[in-house]
Amino acid sequence: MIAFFRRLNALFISAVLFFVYFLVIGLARLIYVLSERKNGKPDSYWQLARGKQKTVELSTPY
Amino acid sequence: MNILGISAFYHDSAAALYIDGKLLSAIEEERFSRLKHDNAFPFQAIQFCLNSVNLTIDDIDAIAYYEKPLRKLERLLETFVVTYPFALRPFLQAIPDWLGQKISVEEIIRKKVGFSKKIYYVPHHVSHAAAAFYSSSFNTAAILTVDGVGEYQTTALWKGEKDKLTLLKSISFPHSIGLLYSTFTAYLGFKVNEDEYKIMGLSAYGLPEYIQQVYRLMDMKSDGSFSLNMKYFSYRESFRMFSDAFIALFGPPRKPGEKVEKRHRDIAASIQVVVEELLFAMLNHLYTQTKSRNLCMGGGVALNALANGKIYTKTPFKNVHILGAAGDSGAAIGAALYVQRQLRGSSPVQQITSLYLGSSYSNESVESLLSCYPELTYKKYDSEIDLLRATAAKLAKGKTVGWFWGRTEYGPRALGARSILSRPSPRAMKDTMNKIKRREEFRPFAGSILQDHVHRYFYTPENKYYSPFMNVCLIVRENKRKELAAIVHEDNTCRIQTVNEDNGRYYRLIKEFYRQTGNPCVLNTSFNVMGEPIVEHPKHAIEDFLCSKMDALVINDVLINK
Repeated sequence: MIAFFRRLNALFISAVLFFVYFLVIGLARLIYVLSERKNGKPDSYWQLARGKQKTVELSTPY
Repeated sequence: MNILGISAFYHDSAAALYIDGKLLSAIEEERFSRLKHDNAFPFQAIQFCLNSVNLTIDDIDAIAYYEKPLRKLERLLETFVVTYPFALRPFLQAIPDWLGQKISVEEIIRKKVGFSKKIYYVPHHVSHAAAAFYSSSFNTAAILTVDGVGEYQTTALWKGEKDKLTLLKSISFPHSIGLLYSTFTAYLGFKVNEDEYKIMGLSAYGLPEYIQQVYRLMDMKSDGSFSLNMKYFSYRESFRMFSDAFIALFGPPRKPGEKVEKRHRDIAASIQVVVEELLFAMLNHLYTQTKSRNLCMGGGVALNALANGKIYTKTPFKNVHILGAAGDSGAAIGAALYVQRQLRGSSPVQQITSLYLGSSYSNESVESLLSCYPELTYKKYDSEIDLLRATAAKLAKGKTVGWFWGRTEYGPRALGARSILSRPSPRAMKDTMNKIKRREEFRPFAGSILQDHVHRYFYTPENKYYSPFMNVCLIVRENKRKELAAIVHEDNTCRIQTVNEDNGRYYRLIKEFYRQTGNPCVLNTSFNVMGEPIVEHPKHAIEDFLCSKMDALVINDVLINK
């Protein structure tokens, strides 16, 4: 019985994630495509450290 | 101040404990769970660290976690956006995994570990950079961190000055040398995040005939920066590392267990050459940015010993420091070191010269255990020199000896605390050892050599060259290749560990072996059999001893025979 409810729960989560993927991620993808800029080949692929990157905030997991 | 560093949930979960600025304990979770590269939260490793110094979690002032989990989740979600709609399956698998455990690091630390004070989240590559630089003897250094991926960064150039780490430049996911190498590891039929060193070993048997194909996978600039052509990779949107376009370029992938053919060897040689060229271009660029002759490297790619050995000839760097645990387990040390510098301000240099930081067992417990194995005969030595003489004599006669002594090593390398040893010649010793370890024939063995003699046997950057963590391959001198026949690889290199007084009894054993044979080097391989982590408990050592063709086993002061 417990196994059945576990499987049902997993199925429910998958169904929710399925919709999240196609709707939310899909919408984000649309915005991403519309805002994407086409750049030519750069001279270097190094990303320079900006001011924000140079200071590290340690107290947050983000 | 007591700081506990933790790494978890990717691979090689570990804990490291600093008490008042001293690294007193560190161990990987895999040693206890017996799952190689275990990525579970390291409850047992944490408990070990606390027990080893008779502290409880309430005595810890701060916990330093080795990455920022929410930034990592953000990168994951961004990847799903970029790969939409092709990554549904990974999405359905990854999100519950993240929501279930990975995202709730704080909750785990609060509720399950019972820690109520401050938790600090150190970005992944900062943890690597801190582990690399703060564990060195340098006041200033150039630092390169390279791995699969942290939060976003995969590669970063840094400058280290006293207590300060300054990020100069970086490259972000999905462009990653670590993932590039892992893609070839998977393509050649080996395990990702585990068997990369097999590709390194295999590369010596091949010719780099696929270099042009490898270069088609990326756009590389003269400053060492690069961008992977994602058409050839599928690690963002599927569970497979390489795409159909990759297969079209290199041919069908090798299945696990299939025979290794010339094509596989040549591909391994090609990716090794390209990765080396990338690394050296990066390092040369890093030198122009920092003008420091001191180099520290961190991240999993820094475990590529073959590339590391060439740094001295291919770049301007003169002094190189790579911590033995350069991968994610070492990031637990790095996170703790970084937090310590932030909280305490200026700290003296805390060079790590020894990684014997793990568990140890008493002679009494070993003797008690041996009473359960009546088929074994053993002798406990009261005098260390007698034990060393007897052990060295066995090695000199060509016997293989399991060597379990003192505290276990931190990191992926056996450094003479949990090792299987033999003399480094004749060549047949390699086959004998391969049978004991049950591993592939093409894989080389490493050597431990007295530091005072290293320059006589290898082409070293300096006399008495210091490389205590076995992460550098050097070319063996022509006149010594016969003497080291079992550890000289196909390309005439050998991965070496230089041994001095810091290595305690292991140093004294090799000194005794040198006295008896005139050879200052022994073959040293990790004390485990294929697929298992290094032995943790004497019981694991005895069981491996019994089920293999090892000739003798030394556990602390006890010499055991079959």
